[in-house]
Amino acid sequence: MMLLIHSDMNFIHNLGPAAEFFIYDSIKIFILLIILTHLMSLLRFYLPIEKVRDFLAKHNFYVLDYLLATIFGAITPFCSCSSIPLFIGFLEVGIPLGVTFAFLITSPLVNEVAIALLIGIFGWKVTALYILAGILIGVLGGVILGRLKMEKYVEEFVWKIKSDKIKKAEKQKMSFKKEMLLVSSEAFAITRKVALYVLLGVALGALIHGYVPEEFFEKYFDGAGIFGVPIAVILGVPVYANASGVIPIIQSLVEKGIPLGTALAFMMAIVGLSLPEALILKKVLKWPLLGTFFGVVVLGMITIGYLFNLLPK
Amino acid sequence: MTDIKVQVLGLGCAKCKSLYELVKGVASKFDPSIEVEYVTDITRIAELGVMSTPVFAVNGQVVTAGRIPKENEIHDALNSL
Repeated sequence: MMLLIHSDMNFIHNLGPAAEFFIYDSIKIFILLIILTHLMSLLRFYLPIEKVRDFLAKHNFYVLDYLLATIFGAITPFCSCSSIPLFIGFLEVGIPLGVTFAFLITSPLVNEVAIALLIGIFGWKVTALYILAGILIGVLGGVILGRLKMEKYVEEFVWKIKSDKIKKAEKQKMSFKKEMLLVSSEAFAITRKVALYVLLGVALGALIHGYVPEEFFEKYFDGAGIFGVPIAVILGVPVYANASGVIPIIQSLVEKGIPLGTALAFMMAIVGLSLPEALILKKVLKWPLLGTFFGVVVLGMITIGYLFNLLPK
Repeated sequence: MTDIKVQVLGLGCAKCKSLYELVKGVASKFDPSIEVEYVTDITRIAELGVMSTPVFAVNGQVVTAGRIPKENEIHDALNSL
């Protein structure tokens, strides 16, 4: 009985900080989400993916191509169901395989939803480092995959596709106000789509914040020692979730003792690689290339995880 | 009016299916004889030259790609023919 009363007291005592954490973080994240989705939708309105592709196809800046591809990947919204038309569309206009992969690697890792959540939860410094890491993995992964000359492991039918010049229905001249309304409705659509995941993620994060004892995870991760990062990445790959739900939970894990690099590597593995994505890509890639793609990205994430862990706290 | 060719193209993701249902609904209200084709073949999607799905196309012309249009946009696209 005493124990029961004691745990009840504890529950109530911890409810305050958990609720405060939940309300404060949710408001902050939604304000950031609305601002960032508007900025990115505006950018996309004036710089659609077709223009990006044509720019990459026309210019040849060697290594800089990979960097540009990752930056474009970061500003393009990514949905794993779009990865195949993108992949084919890039190769078809003569963009090298490695540059195409650079785009495909960074696109799911860096996007406005992840950035809004990272700024809101971890602050500017970690966000900047994360974006840099996402771009670095894309560039290095793309360069390596390009050097391996694996074109023969792309399904043959891909090389044969010759698309028509995109036949876009006549776009009615829109007034500036109408354009902005369209941009804004796109931005709100993205925010609405992730809203539930954000709230769930923040709620779970708040519960961990309020109820899991300090340094709780540290005990377990100390056991993993130097293998903490690779274990986190390998555990993260089969999990399929988007950044919106994962980041708030990751923050609470860091707060309770998981090293930042290990936690971010885990998160990158969850949002950047997934089994459903592998199954979709299997339609255009043969096993050796699909396996190498996953292998290179996993190695990149592990390296980034170690580097983050070396950062002074 | 039956020569209108309405297509929804996608690789079977949730967004593509909901667009297909939406377009079917709007089209049947507009003209019950219109048939909406749901294309999931990668080659045909790629041949259309689009790089984001789902795609809503009328008579082989892409109206929207990568997003789910509003009902009135679908209606306007059918109406403008």
